[in-house]
Amino acid sequence: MNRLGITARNVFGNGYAVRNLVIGICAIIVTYLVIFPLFVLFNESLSVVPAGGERTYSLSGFYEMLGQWRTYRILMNSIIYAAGSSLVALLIGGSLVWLVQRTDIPAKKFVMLFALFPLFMPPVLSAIGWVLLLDTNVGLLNVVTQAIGLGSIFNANSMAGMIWVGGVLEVPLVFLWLWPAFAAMNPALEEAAAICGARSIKVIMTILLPIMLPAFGAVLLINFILSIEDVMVPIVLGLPAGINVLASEIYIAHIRVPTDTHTASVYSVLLLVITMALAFYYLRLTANADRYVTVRGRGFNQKALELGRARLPVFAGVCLLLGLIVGLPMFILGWTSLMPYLQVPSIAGLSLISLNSYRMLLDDPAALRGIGNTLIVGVSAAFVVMSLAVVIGWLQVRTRNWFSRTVDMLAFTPIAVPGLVIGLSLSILYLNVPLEIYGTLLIIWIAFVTRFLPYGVRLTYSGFSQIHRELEEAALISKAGWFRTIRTISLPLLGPTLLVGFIYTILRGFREISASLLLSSYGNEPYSVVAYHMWDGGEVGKASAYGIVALCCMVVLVVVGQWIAGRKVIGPES
Amino acid sequence: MIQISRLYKTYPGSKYTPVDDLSLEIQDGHFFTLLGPSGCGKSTTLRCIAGLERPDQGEIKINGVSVFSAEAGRNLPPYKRALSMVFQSYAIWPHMTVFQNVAYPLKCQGQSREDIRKEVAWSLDLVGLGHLADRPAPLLSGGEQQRVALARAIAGRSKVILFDEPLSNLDAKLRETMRSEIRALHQQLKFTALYVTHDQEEAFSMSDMVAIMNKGKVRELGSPEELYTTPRSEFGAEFLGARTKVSGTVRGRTDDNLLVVETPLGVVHCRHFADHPPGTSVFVYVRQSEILPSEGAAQPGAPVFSARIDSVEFVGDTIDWVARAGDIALHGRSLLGRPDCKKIREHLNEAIDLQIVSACCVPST
Ligand SMILES: Nc1ncnc2c1ncn2[C@@H]1O[C@H](COP(=O)(O)OP(=O)(O)OP(=O)(O)O)[C@@H](O)[C@H]1O
Ligand SMILES: [Mg+2]
Repeated sequence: MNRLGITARNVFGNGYAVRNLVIGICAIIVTYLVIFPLFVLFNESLSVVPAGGERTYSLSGFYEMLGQWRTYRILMNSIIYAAGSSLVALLIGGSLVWLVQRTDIPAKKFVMLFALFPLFMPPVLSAIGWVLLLDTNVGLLNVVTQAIGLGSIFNANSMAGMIWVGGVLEVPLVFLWLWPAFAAMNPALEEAAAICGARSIKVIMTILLPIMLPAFGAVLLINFILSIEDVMVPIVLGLPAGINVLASEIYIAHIRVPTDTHTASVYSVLLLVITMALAFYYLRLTANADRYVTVRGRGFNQKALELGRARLPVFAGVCLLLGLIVGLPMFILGWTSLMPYLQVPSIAGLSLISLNSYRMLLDDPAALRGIGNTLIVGVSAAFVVMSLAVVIGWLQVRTRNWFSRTVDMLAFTPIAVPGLVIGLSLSILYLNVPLEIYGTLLIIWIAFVTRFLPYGVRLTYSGFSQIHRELEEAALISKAGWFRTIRTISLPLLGPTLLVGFIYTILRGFREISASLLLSSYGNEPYSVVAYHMWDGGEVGKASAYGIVALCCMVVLVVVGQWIAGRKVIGPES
Repeated sequence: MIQISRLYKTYPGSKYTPVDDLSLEIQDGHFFTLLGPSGCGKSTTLRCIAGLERPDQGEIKINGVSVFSAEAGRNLPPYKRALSMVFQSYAIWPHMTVFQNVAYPLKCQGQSREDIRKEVAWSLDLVGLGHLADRPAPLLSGGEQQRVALARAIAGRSKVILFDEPLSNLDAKLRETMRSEIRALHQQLKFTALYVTHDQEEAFSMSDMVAIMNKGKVRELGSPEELYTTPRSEFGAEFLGARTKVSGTVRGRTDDNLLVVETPLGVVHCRHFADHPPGTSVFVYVRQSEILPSEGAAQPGAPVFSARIDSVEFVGDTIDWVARAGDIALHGRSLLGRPDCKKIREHLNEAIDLQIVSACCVPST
């Protein structure tokens, strides 16, 4: 027998045939989903095909890219945008979490709900909402500042505008990520410092910040990755102002006629290298998190910091902030959706309210198809994602060996691959194989499964970690086979987790745009792409109405899911 | 019968060998206990037998069926091995009722509804839980969960039941009750029990045979009384609580088959497991109850010597004391209120005559 204990008999013939078959199939699917597209992408970026000539391999694409000043300007823009918006997100999200978790501000539930609410709004529409607020000519906020004689001071189509909007879009995510870190923080540390006579501000500066630093660093990194791969804000806000970033550059190269796949792939590789490196660093950072006392553990007697006289002013500030970053964009979208033509909110405008935009939606086959497509693809992708995730999560929790680690790593890889890059890779792949997949819903489905798999695996991983292995072993001893054990013991115990993952995946389907944007053609556009096209085509009222409809769909989905699961679907783990 | 021969098991990524060349034979109907300190590989051994862990080397046979053999590359999964198991965590499925929990193995065996109902009622009655059949499992107390686990294990009428520290999560009083109940079940149903514990009292009070394990190896094997009176190794003697250790040399043998051992404290007659020829170096182990304040003159094999009482510790029913003779520490224990107890307390930090009344010896390594 070899050192790893792997022999043909060991893998296939010892009574675990079903188990090994299921695991084998999942491993093959995951490998196919992750490895193939990336391979094709690298292949494309390295190949040169002169018109009518043979394909040759060279690094010329990269030399060309690195030899241009333009590349560095784009790179610089990307970094400024990503760094700026992650800081904005961390600052706002971090303070909100801290206030809700560690202080005695009133109406915590309300603050939390409000902070998370933007998750129900597809980012493309939030971005549109911000344009309607910050546009130099018609932006509501500029109209207000003009009215009080300050002139038009905001500009959505600027780097500052992009940073602000990109940051605000990530606030709910920061809120979710930082929640557990704050919840697990041992208040004894704070209390000890307070007993030593440190004043509140000092406690925050000397104890809280250093302890939370790794968590902040991790969130900052994740934010940075999400921002640098974001394509929505750069094309809605950046392109009109001529501010190009890596992501928009890839998009432009892709939609150029004729499509410049080679350039797009070279830029994609550059973007991929950046996100991969950051993701790697992120894993290192969080793997060492055990060293810090802050993480883990629960049930601490959480004593809230008393804000005293500052309590109400702080609360008012929080309301104002949430009103600005959550309320206003929603309001302007709602308002615009009810107006027959674009105009700033006013009392006079109230008389014009009509459901015209909604009626137009009903008459627009593309709009209905978009929602239908997203539901079909989202539900079926959610089903497959969670099925794969159950097997991979089980494998990772119950059998820790090189095989399970490899599969887990593969399944986790897409988290570091920008959606844009997945979209591009899939389009190259399926344009070049003789399968009729390009232009169908199937290709969108493949992109969804690939992109959302890591989150599914994360969920089932923590789900299985909470199911004592002896519960499964008792079933095996009771003469249940592996499949029966999973079906009758693990799945029922995992139930709520599975439902959460299912609904979360569908929500992500509504929000997804970066991969779909490159993959959709007439007929297979999912929701976000249709919404973007409406905006792009100048149908602002209709786009806004479309956003409100999606919002309602998602709220209904989550409320129903919550009701079935009997627990929170969206929201921090308690 | 369970036969284990030359079993090895290591975990990937760890150098320690939790099961190291282990061979055992467990007779039908025996109550067999693996006893050993934490981390010595008891659970690992049990899990290998159950098929939950794959050993590296060796062979395991259950009732004549080879369920694992490294040579033949055979490793039957748990559901193909004729045994049931009671887990340390009880492993009661929280999404089922008591009835469903106990019925599960029967269902998996494909028994008919009617048979299942009868069998579950029978086993729940045996463990005294007949009235709780419809209770959802999360609403049970620890002791009740333990009984459900027992009922589930006996419901299939398996001939072999494995127990992995089933009582370690219960409070002391309940533990004693459950101990006698498990024992009674064993007497009644006559299954072969393989029981794992680190509690010596538990092991001795329940078992027909006990194997003492350390670092993946069986160090001692025998009936509880044999192990207690004649340990075979330093580890066994110390693990079973002999606290005074004196080195000596064998000088001969008495008529009633005790070894005559010469020690710095005098000549001691020792119980022994294996025979040792004169001249062998041995360690003499004296239990706390075998060392007393002297009442008079030395007898042959029970030397009297002078020592100084260093410390006296009040424990409850007894006092534990430590005396010193030269560089030898002597650990004794006296019943509270007895004359010798008074004597010891009076002589704290003073010299006193002590006597070793009996002892055992093991070969020194
Ligand atoms: N899955 C595993 N991976 C690596 N090492 C393990 C694993 N399970 C157990 N071990 C190690 O094997 C050794 C023996 O473990 P085992 O559980 O058999 O001990 P035990 O005798 O049952 O102890 P206890 O009385 O504490 O339950 C321990 O050192 C343990 O750390
Ligand atoms: Mg154990």
